[in-house]
Amino acid sequence: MKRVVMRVSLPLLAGTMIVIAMAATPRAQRGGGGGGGMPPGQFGGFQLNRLEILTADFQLTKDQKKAVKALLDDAHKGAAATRDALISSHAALGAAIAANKGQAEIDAAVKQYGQKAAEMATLEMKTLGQLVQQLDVPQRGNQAAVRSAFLLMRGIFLDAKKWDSVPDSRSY
Amino acid sequence: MSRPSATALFATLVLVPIVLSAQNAPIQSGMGNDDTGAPKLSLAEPLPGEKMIDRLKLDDKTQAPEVRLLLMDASRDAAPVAQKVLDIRLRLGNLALQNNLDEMPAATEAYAAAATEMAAIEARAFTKIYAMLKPNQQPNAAPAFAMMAGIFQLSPGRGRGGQRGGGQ
Repeated sequence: MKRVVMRVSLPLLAGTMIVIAMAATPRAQRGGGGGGGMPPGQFGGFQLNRLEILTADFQLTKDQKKAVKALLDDAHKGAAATRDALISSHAALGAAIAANKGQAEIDAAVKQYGQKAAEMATLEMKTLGQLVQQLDVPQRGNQAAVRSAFLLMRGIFLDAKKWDSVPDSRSY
Repeated sequence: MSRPSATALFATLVLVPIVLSAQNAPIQSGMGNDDTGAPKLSLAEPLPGEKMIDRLKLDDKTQAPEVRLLLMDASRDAAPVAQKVLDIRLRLGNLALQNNLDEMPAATEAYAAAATEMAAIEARAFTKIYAMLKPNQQPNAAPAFAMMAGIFQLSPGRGRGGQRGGGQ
């Protein structure tokens, strides 16, 4: 009897392992979900935009994806004043340097910019907190996805037109 | 005892290594590591330092190498500050995830101090760059400085600060 069980279960085991191997390989290669063979944010050679990355990493349902999009759309609109202040304070710093202003004036511009950068960072992180709160408990426990989302938030509101783009080199 | 069948042998010799190798694929998202785990610049996109050099229309033989060296030096100075910025950002993120809004203002203040330090490094570097510009290059200084924002940060789009500005 034992011999029969072995003969039946081993092909089953082999089949199961093929499925696991097929499932594990792309997961290991995918972006924020696990790192690996290709740069995160890319899948099969295609670059993913922020919403696609979040959807893949957290395995968002259709409704969750809508909710996350709505949240980030609103946050992007709400970030307009912070973004404008950040960009203008950086421009003011550049203008002070170009105009060969005194060190005190440059220091003041540097400090002003640092404060605006902190406001933007805080806004991004608060938005991250709101985003994660919308998820189910198992999704919130997905540390790789949360870490990926944390990294994705940097500069998410820098583009005045949209947040849902392929993450690029813009920073502050 | 039963003898192992051909299928069992196949599973052991071929599939197990495949599964193990897939599971052991490097997870490269540790903060502060070479790969932050976040999306990177595509290979087609020039480094920010190179973009700035292009924008300023610097001379390839004289000005550009000097600016690259200058950015590399500044990048070295900025590395500990970049780590500090990243650490405080992580603190902000954790507070937000815990919905601990009461402690966020203190973290924001700390972030402002670190970001100010970083901006000072950027400003010093740009002051030196601006000083070597010819009059016909100076009108491009403002957009070039805009490209310098966060150039030394350990940011998702950039990888390690030390590998950036200089374009090496």
